[in-house]
Amino acid sequence: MFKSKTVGAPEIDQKAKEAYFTASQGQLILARFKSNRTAMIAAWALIIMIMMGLFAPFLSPYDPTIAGRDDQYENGAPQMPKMWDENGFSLRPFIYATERERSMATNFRWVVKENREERLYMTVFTRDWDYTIFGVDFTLFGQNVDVALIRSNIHLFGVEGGKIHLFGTDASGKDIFGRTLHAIWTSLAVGTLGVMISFVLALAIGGIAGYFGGWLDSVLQMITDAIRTVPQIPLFMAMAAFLPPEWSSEARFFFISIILGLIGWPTLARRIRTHLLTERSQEYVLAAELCGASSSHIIRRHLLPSFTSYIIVDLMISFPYMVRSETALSFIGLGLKDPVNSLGAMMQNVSKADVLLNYQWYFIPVFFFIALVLAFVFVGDGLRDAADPYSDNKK
Amino acid sequence: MKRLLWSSAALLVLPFAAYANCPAISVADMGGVAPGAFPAQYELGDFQTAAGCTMELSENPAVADFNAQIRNNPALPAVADRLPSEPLVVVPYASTGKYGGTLDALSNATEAGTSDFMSIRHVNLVRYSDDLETIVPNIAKSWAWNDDFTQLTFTLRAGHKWSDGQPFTSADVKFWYDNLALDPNINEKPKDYVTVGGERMTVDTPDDVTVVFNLPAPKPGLLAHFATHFAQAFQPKHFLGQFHPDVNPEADTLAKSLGFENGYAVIRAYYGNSDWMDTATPMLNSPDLVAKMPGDAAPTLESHIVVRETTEGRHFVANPYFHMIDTTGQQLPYINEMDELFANDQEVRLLKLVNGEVDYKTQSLQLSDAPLMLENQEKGNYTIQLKPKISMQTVSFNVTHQDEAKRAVFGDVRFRKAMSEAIDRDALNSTAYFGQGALQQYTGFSPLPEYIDPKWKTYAMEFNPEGTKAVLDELGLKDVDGDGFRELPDGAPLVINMQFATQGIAGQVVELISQNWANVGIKSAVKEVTPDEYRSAQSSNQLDVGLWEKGQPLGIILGNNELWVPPFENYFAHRSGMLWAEWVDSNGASGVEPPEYVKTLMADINTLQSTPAGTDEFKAIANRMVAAMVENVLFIGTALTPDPIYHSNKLKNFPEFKTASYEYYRTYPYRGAQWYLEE
Amino acid sequence: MLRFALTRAFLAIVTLLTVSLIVFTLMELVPGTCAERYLAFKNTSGSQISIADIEVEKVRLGLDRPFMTRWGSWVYDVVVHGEFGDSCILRLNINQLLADKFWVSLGICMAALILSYAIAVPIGILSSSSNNAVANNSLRFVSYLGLALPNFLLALIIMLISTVYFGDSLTGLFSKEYRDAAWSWAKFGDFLSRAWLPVFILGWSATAFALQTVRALMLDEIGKLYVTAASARGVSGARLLWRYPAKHSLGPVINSLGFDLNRIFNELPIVALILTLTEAGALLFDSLARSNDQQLAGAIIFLLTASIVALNFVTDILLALIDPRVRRGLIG
Repeated sequence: MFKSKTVGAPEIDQKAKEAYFTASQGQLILARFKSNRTAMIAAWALIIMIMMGLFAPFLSPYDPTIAGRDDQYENGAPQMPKMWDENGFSLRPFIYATERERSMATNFRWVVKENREERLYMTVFTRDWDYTIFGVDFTLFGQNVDVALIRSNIHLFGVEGGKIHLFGTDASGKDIFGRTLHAIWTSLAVGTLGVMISFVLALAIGGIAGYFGGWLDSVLQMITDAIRTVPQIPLFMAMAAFLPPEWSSEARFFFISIILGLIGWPTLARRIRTHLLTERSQEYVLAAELCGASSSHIIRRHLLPSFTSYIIVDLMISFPYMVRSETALSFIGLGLKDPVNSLGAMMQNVSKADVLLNYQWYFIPVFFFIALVLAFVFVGDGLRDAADPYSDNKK
Repeated sequence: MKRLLWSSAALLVLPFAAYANCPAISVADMGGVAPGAFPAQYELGDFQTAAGCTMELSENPAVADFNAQIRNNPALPAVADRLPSEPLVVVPYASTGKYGGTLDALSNATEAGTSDFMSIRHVNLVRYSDDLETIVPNIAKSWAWNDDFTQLTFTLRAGHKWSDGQPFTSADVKFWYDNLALDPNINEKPKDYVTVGGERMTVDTPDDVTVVFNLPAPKPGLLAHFATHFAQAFQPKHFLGQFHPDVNPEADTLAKSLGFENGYAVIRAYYGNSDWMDTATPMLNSPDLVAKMPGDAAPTLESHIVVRETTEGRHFVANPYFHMIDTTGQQLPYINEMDELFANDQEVRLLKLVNGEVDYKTQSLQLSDAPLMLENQEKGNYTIQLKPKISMQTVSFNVTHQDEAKRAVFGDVRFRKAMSEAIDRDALNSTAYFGQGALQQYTGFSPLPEYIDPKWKTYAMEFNPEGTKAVLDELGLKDVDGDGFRELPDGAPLVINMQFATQGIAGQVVELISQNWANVGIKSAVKEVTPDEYRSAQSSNQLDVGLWEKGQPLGIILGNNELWVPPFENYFAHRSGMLWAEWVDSNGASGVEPPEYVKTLMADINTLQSTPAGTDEFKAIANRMVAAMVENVLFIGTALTPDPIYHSNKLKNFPEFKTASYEYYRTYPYRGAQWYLEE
Repeated sequence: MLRFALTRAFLAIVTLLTVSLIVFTLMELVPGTCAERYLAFKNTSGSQISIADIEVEKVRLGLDRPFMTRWGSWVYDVVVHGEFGDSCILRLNINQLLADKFWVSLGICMAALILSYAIAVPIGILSSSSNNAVANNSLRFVSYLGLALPNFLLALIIMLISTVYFGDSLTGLFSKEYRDAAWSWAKFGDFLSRAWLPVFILGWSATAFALQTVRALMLDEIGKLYVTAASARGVSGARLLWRYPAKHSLGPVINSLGFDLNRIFNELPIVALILTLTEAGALLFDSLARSNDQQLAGAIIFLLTASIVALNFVTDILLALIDPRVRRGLIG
């Protein structure tokens, strides 16, 4: 009855072919994406960074705000844990304790001396500062709201009897490693929010313009063009300055993302509209209309799927521009500023002549930023290649 | 017979001996010459007597070239005819200088970040000497007060000429005052510094070299005003007056013939309707009309005059008619030309400084820039001086807060004192100020005169978090919900919004103070804003705490009472007690009545300003004022920090500055005219 | 054709007015009028300013008039007299101030635009059609790096390297000798020798966007039947690419040139700030961020919008000429 059967080669082939022909659009895209090596590398990098950002509090040994500063190690160079030195091998990685001095003679720069005799051993799953993951904490109308999914004070690693700074510290002694991870999350959050808002707007406006065409299209086109022409800087300045001063940094950040979204929709809207205009006059839509389908049915079942892939790709591709806009704004001081942790705010610190010449480790967040942007872009390109139904005959 | 011969021979030789040229002395080496009435300078006659010599005048070999560059200047007369009959004899700091060179300077823009450069060439009736205490003559040869400080008489120098060769007389002072400063077409309301208690003065000119200021009320500080203020008390009547309808009935016709709407438009093109000397000249604001105008810029008495101007920078040459000479008779200034470049970004300016592209800079340099500049001194061939500032970074609580509960808490002096003691100033000093700050409480007068009780310098300064916690408990600020932070006495959450702008206070300092307060249980939120947002929030009384620098020297306070009258400073600075100010301005109609000590302060400052400085009464009042200000902890001080002063090693006769601040008009006390460049 | 031109002209004017109104409104919302900012500068130089002084300054600058009056009279001056008025911070006539500066800025932006497409078009076409993964990826990587590296950072790093290692801070549009001089061939040459840096920086960051656009368009077109048909007919290689899909992809590219220029111009101020280029971008940034100078900012943005609108107009005409579908008004 239940005879096991070895499946022969032609049968595997047949199964594969069936799988291919009955696969949904999503599965096809995924399969093609996976075969694109560059895109896969980028995707993994992206996922790793998102995870790092998500679990930033867990991964950072110290609080990235001024409360967690190391007042014994300001503007300190990165410390790499070692496993062995002239005093012998150690299973547990360690760093050296440091002493420092500063005076007019050293031009007020801290001169740090390592004490190679004193080792500070690393520990894992250390208890340190409290944090929440997926939590919110704000005061609204006099009521304090403080809920969280995960609340803990366990951190991945730490050091006994001292502090370890993998990426060094900034001028106040804040750990750059922790700040970078939190900054990735902030920038991602701002970007996501902005992209989502612009997506919704673009869909609505571009969709209406594309579907109905005619004079409605012309009017909407004109509005879109006008908004595209408005230069960003005055817009941001006014918005940023218009914020009530009582708002916290978080609220401000929320607002900035909304603004970014409001600026970003025209490009996407135009693309949607163009695509809709061409698709509308295709035969399959005509056929559906002749069959008596309603507008909403046509939109849902026929038009939308035809450019879902388009949209996904566009979303992916708008991300880096959003993140970049946030960075540029923070740089000129209109966006998020210290002490908020965002990649833009951290890059603001890099632009000081002093830092450029002496504290090159401030640049490390820049690399993360570059990696983040490149990852998004390559994933976006990969998705576009994968989503293209005619790309069978290509790489 | 022989004796007669010898004595007559001696008589014949003596005059020749007296004709020896004057020695090259310097402040460092006076060569035995007795000092004059004022430090480091003499009147010509006094110097010739003191040094036993006759001055032989000489000039810069390139002066004819400079004169040619000043458009429409007449042919150059001999140096003796260009100098006043009694030029000011300046004793250089280190050595007699050599003519030559171009001073490279850096400013932000045409009218921004320029005051350190402008004050190099600045002149006024009098000047503060580099000890910042003695007032010495400059344009004016001497001055005299009457008994009750209601009449100030200046004597000018005979034969003094403007940079275009025309005579400079007392009429130019009167023209400035009557026709420019008080003319409603130019200044709708006369500026504070030209009036005394809101009332106008009158200026009399009995002769060409005498100017008499008649004051409606006593104001001993008027002399100090002429020493510290950027407004030069004179403008060329022969030049600007020809376009002024009150001086020249043909003014408008003349203006129209040059292509301007009316005479006042021409005056605006030259004078900029402002006493600031960095306003744009017609070269920049009317480039298509300037060729027909009588000059590229208005004539000046300063050491250098502008000859080229664009939005990228300005170029100056030495004034051939400048009134100072050195002790060997060389006409000053030594430096031939000055070149000012505009760079609006601080980091770019720093890079240029580090690279040695600039010869002198102090404005907008901060302590945090010091390490970078110090370590590049050799490579860039420059020297950095770190000198104390006058103002210090302070914190204040809004004692007239909109929210009644907060107002009750902030208004309690025990709270303010406790919060002052919660700040770990040693850590602050070490982190933010490189350990270079001198810890001190805010005392209003800065630097604090010696006759003030020194205990105020350290009042409420010791780091005592436990004591603070006890006081906060006593005041009813307890942590009821167990989150580690205290609530207001009525149970509402307490979060102090700390908004700051980096122009007024360093972000690090704010963060550290916020952390100190969190450690005693007071929650605060730190946010950086633009200076305009900060000011606007301050004006509308929406700040919880004020965070800005504060402090003025005695000389300024004598002329300006703003530190002592609500809101305790001007619009662009650190204000507190906004509703008290409203009460004062509206005469009690609106706002909140200030407590007694504030009213006493207001009365005291007025009395102080009319009392002669240095008397016992003066000292008593000053002590009283400081006591009231400090024990009520209206403003919490941190530390007096230094700021860097940068100068190239090629720049000689550059002294040690006493402070790094604008209060005495920056470089003016340090005599830029005797600087010289050496390759 | 005439109707087309008239409609576009009408739309252009409406756009100009709308944009200027938006800019004025936005600047109005920012706290701190130009009068205050101007006096703030003076305050930091040591003058004690009272609120009365600020009021006086405001009246002098005409800032006490209601907002709509100010905007209205500004628009009137611009449209009827061609006069942009005076900058309230610099106290200079804006027409003279902007005279060559705007052309300089426009020149730099156009050069950057051309550079970005000069790189993006060949790489985009190659990348969409070639199978050489290594070349493909590395070329794309380099182009996208332009996007990932924020241009202010790039400018700073380049400036820093040149200062530290070459002793020349590479700032400024002109060297000292030509700063005050009148325009001449020598001055132009000097300008070119220094302008390459901002053009390079801006062009590189604009490349990414252009590259993605070209690539996307090419990918769309390459799969279409007419290309397969041509390939079946024996056309191959570069000829295949250029004569068929590339030509059709050009349409949308040309269409978006105006907005690309806008994007580049938006990035110019920051770069100009760092490199101390004294041209319209830096002035714009100053007037927006530092001095709240509505007149100056309004003027620069007006000119910019006018340029973009003009460019859009030209590109639309161009597109209509080469694409019969556009001529019939069906698409685009």
